[in-house]
Amino acid sequence: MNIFTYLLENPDYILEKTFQHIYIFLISWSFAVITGIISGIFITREKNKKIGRIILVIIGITQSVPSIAVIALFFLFMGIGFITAAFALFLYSLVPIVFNTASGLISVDGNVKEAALGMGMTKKDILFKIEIPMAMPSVFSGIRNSAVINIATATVAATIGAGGLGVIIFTGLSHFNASMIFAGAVPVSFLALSIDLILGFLEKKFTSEGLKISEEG
Amino acid sequence: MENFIKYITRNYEIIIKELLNHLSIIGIALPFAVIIGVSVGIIIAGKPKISKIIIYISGMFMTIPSPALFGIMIILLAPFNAGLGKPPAVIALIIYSLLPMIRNTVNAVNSLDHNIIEAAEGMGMKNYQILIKIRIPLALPLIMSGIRSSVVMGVGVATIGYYIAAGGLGYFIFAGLSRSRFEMILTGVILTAALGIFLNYFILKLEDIITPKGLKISGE
Amino acid sequence: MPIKLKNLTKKFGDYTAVNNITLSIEDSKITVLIGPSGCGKTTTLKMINGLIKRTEGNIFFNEISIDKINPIDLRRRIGYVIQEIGLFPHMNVYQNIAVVPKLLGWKENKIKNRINELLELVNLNPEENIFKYPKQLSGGQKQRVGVARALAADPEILLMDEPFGAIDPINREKLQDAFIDIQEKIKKTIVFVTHDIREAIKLGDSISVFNTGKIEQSGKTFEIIKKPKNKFVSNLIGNHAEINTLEFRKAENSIDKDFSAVKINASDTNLLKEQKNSYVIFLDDNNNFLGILSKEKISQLSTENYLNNLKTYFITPDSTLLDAAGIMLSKGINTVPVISAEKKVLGVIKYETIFQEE
Repeated sequence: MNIFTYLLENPDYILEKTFQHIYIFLISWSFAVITGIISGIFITREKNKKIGRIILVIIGITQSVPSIAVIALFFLFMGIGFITAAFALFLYSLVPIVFNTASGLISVDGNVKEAALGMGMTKKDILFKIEIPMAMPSVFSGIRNSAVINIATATVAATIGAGGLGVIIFTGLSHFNASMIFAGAVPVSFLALSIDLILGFLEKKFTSEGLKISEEG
Repeated sequence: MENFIKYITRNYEIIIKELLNHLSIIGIALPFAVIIGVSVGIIIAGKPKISKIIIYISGMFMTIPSPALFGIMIILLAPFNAGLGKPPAVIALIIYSLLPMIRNTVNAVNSLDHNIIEAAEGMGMKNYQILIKIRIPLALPLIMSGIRSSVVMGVGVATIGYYIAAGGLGYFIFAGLSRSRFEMILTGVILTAALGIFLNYFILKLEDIITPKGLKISGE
Repeated sequence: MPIKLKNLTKKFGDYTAVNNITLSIEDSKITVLIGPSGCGKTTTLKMINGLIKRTEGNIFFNEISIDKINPIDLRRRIGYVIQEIGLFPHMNVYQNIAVVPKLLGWKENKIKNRINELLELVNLNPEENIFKYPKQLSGGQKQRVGVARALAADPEILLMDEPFGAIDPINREKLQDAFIDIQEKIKKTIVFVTHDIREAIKLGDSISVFNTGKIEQSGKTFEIIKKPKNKFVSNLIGNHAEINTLEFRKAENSIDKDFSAVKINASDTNLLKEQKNSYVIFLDDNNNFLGILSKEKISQLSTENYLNNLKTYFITPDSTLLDAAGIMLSKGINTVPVISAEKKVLGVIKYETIFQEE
């Protein structure tokens, strides 16, 4: 028996678990992207500055809480199941997106915003034409980070009913079956790398050249 | 809640033991991670192509799910009679720490102003003096933040140690989950979360202390 | 469009940044607001385009109160230039300049033509620069783009907040020269904030001297230099006191014979390059005075364009040095030709001769 045995003998099962993995990832992560960007924008608006600061502190703290703690916590409240897992994953992958969106928006130079205002842009113009495009690199790094974390964490979430490739890995781990662990791990890594690749491509497409060039002289 | 309090008061010895176990996995891995990460970082900094490849590869390790990496370690280390217990956990953690350590070191070294190095050379400093007196102190804050990421990550990763008999706080969570013992799970959740937050805060303070004062004053 | 500031006051909490100022800003001229930092000059500028709301008083554009104008519309009709950082880093030169025209809903073709025109005006080669991003431009180029952007929708008013502040002295001089040329063509109403008195004197048709939220003195540049109202103003202007004696000194006694003059028909680029003075006088075939050009300007023009760009100002021998100084200060040049009644060049008056301490 070699390391590939399980992979070769159970392609259908692995494929099924891979699709489950993709499914829970896409659901929890895409909600996180939408919610995360919107909340990142919301908490950086002038009128929400105070709440924003508090939320950012909370988020900063949450970033140092291990994913397993979050997953287990939701199990305590919601019991075992797909929804619990998806919800925990959603919240956990929300954190880097909100954080990066907000810090990207905050770091837009005040002079640039003032120039835009002085030229007669409305607040909406400034948000969509200046702030968001300029925060794009930071937003994308949050989204990419969150995707990779989500896919890896989904494995651990198998312990509370997420399904997916984590099931194969944990079963393999409790039987010390290397071939099985390997068969679960390879698609997870492959998934994470390909999502990151796709997002990297999108990032290139949606980020202005002008932000990537390094200063002359 | 009552169960929870009962559980901790009855099991505080186990709690302390597993907490120490948890910390020792991180503690043993850390110096190795720092030495490997920082030296690799220093070697490849200034070589953009090689840095990119190495950082990408260390990023690939990060995509391996932690239970799988632990599992793989068991198998790889089995021939050396070290398949179970702390060694696979420690090595897995070192591998995960490579990305933050290497990336931050490379950034730290690269972000150094060339003029400063030139000035140091102009003052007659030798290469090793520049390394010790200029490069490292200036790079230290970023390297420390690399250490912080890898320690905080370690708190989570080390929980998987439960599955390979390395001990650690993972015991409360995973054993609790499989036995549906809420008070155990809650103990694990609180301890890991608190440990992550505490270590993050602690190292942040440390960063603040070792950052040369001149670097902290932000220009107008 | 003329602007009037009437009893304008701005308070930030207890602090009064601008204290009851009244000022008329002349149509088609450059009005410089100068003073030390914290004197209220920038606050005043930002009240004009409504970036800062006034506490008391009023601002009138063509006798219409600012309250009756929608601030967004107002700003789209006012060009605004700040230090170089105001360019949008994620937009290339074209996109930066196109911002206001696009907000106003111009057609793409009209925008394109306008941008080419503007880049010519600020002396940037359109083909070379139009797709560059701000980070690929030098400080001076950024500033030129900033000016072009402010002029994009052909506003009647231009507000400039220390636009050349971040640029090294040599390039700043060049930009100022270029700016004077541009203003001669576009004739906008410009309010220009600076803390550099040399810049104020060089660019300003009028100057308002600010101090602790109040205007110490305002008037024609030359009047201010000639008659500083108080110690603060005279200290700011520096040692130009001897200017008062200028009106008693005849130009003919200070004529400098060291000047460069060439016949316009005989002028080729090489000949012009050899001239050692910074200004070259052009003559017709009978050696009569035609006009004067700076060597820098010459280097930007092709031979057939000299004639159209000649500056024709001069003084006669019986003028006073005060007249010469007036021309220098208002036109931003350092050499004024002295011409006889027969249109012959007698010599030049140089800036150094008048202001010897320079």
